[in-house]
Amino acid sequence: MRVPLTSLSEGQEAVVVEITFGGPSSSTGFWGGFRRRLGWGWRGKGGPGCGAVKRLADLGILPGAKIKVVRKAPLGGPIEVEVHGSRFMIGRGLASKIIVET
Amino acid sequence: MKYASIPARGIRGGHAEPDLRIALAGQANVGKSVIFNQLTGLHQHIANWPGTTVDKAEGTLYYKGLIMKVIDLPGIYSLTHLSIEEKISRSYIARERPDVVVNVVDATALERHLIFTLQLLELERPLILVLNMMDLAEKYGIEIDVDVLREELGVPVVTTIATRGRGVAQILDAAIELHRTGYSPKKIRYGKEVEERVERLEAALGEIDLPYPRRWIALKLLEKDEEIWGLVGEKNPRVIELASELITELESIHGHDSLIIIANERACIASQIARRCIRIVKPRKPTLGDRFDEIATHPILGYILAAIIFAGLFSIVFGVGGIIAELSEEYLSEIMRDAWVRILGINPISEVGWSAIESILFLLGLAIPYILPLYFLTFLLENWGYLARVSFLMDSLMHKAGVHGKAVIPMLLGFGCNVPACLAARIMDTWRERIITILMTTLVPCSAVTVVVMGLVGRYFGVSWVIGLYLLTLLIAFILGSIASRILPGVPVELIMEMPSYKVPSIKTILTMTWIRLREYLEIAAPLIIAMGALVKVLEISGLLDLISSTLSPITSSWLGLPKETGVLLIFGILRKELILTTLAALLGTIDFSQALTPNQMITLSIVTILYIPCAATISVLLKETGTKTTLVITLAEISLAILIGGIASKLLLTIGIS
Repeated sequence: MRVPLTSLSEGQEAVVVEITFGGPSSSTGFWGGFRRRLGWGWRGKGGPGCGAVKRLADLGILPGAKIKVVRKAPLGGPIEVEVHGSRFMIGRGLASKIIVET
Repeated sequence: MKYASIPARGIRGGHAEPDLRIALAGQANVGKSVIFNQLTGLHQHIANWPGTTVDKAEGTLYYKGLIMKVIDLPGIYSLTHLSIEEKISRSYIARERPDVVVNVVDATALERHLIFTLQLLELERPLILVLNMMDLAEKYGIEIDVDVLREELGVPVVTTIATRGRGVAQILDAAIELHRTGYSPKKIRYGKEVEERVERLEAALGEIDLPYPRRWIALKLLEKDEEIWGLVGEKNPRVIELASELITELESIHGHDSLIIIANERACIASQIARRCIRIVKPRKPTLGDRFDEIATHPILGYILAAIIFAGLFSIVFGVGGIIAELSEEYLSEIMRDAWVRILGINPISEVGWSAIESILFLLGLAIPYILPLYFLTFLLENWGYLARVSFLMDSLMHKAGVHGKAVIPMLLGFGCNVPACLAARIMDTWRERIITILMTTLVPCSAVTVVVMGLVGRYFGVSWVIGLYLLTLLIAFILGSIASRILPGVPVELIMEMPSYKVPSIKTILTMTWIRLREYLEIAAPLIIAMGALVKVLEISGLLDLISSTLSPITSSWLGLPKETGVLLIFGILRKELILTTLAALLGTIDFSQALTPNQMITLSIVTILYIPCAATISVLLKETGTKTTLVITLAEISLAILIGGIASKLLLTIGIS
């Protein structure tokens, strides 16, 4: 079954299938307009989350990797995972974009 | 396995040309800085990399008749993703061409670290692989066949337990040997589809004038590396066109992003190598650290533990600090003042001079009793591995302010002193996150502010009012952080952080780091503090202070409802916040403030004190870390905020009957 990493329970293991991204645009809405009027562009190019995919890849969190949820932080906090014997914490929002196969 | 303790002790190499230049590279939490400190001791120099606030740590040492220069490259995750640290590291390796690159890895997570090692190998500089934390690996039942690893990679491999100094000298031996005999690493081969395209790109690149190896450039083009796309695009736009075509081909074959394809193949290679040289001799049993983590990250107990640990930290800092500070203030300051007056007499010039000296004394009186233990204990917690757990617990709360869990560390330090706290904001990954964190940190009431608030509100209303005021301040900090995160350009970065295993801290490393940071603190803060001290004295003697004070009176008296002398207090308070209380006492001639201030005024003055401006030392750090413009914005914003909130509070208090 394909589910986001966030829906695994503590201690459960799965295999990463894909990492999905399509973040919201940052120049829309009230504050986005404010930002545009101030002439503040992007610092750094690439879409939202683009850097995060790379960073996850560097940690070995790639399609095909075995991933285990060690624990979840309270109040929608980050998820601690174990991949290739090392442990990381990943923000909940980011973790919800990691799709795994159980 | 045989270890030898390190015989090398750094001696200052002066300005002599080094015989060997060594660069330490590795990911975060591998003990790289421990190794750096073991190698160079106090003979190190910390500056910033040009145009950044990233630390550039260099040291010189003398070993077996050779002068060696060691540079500690910033801790990074990879050479593909472009954070500032990564850009610095790879461009240093490619452009400065160190004689040897020492790649420090965590032996307990070799497979993951090998991914980074493979990327370093692609930069084609002589490389030594250092397997650190061998003691932990043994404890976890991980056996690594060093000979197989050496064979697989074609590079020298050294094993170390850096916290105990074991194997550190062997790194130097290996470096000398490697420099002497030359270097023959294995070529890392990707799958057929990738290799074909790398070759085509290499051919198209020809003799392009860039400091990086050609094969590496070709790979980075396929990985859509922005910096390399830009660099190549300027010189040869046709290659970029070809690269885009090849990427499209690759992606249609594999059905993944080209970046993922290459990362995946690299991870496979790393995993194959790891499988050949790692043997798990016993399954990993839950360690003491794992059991401790059950508490440290527990949804209820975790917060209680964090509260206890930080309450303990601050009571040590303030307890120890208070005793030392009192002694030095009573004796040292008075003795020096007497001597000063005896030599120079009492005249305006000697007064201005004395106030500059007083500023230095104050700075030392803050640095040695308070900042030193604060740094020491924080580094202790960090080295042990605990701080990461606090980030884990606080992440969701920090998200309310648009930053992630790491920002909690600078904010907590802020309760001690804003200066080290703002410097600690460097742990944030991006410029955006750093600015938000610094903004929030400057609002955290530091120990000096606490002196004022306790002396007014705490003394006459009780501690619960102080706690109330602090919660209000933190709420304001979070609201401002959240506004800043909406205004500032860029996208929020989510927390991705290693959960390090608990380690026995290396006291030597912690002491070195404390000393280096303390020195940095004095260097940054001293000039502005001394200048401001003298300036305020000049204003006072010339009578301008009263003029400024009466100019400010529409704000201080009419809007905030404070006594007319408040302007003077607030100007002194810029030097250091606790001067607000001492100056007030001096003006009144008594420390019973209730005679001169109404309850309403006490609370309003406390609020204004908390919010109105970062102190001179903090402004110095802001200037260094964020630049003039941002410093100005933050300072002005906080002054307006103090006036606004102070005035509203004063009126509100009136309506509930506190006049």
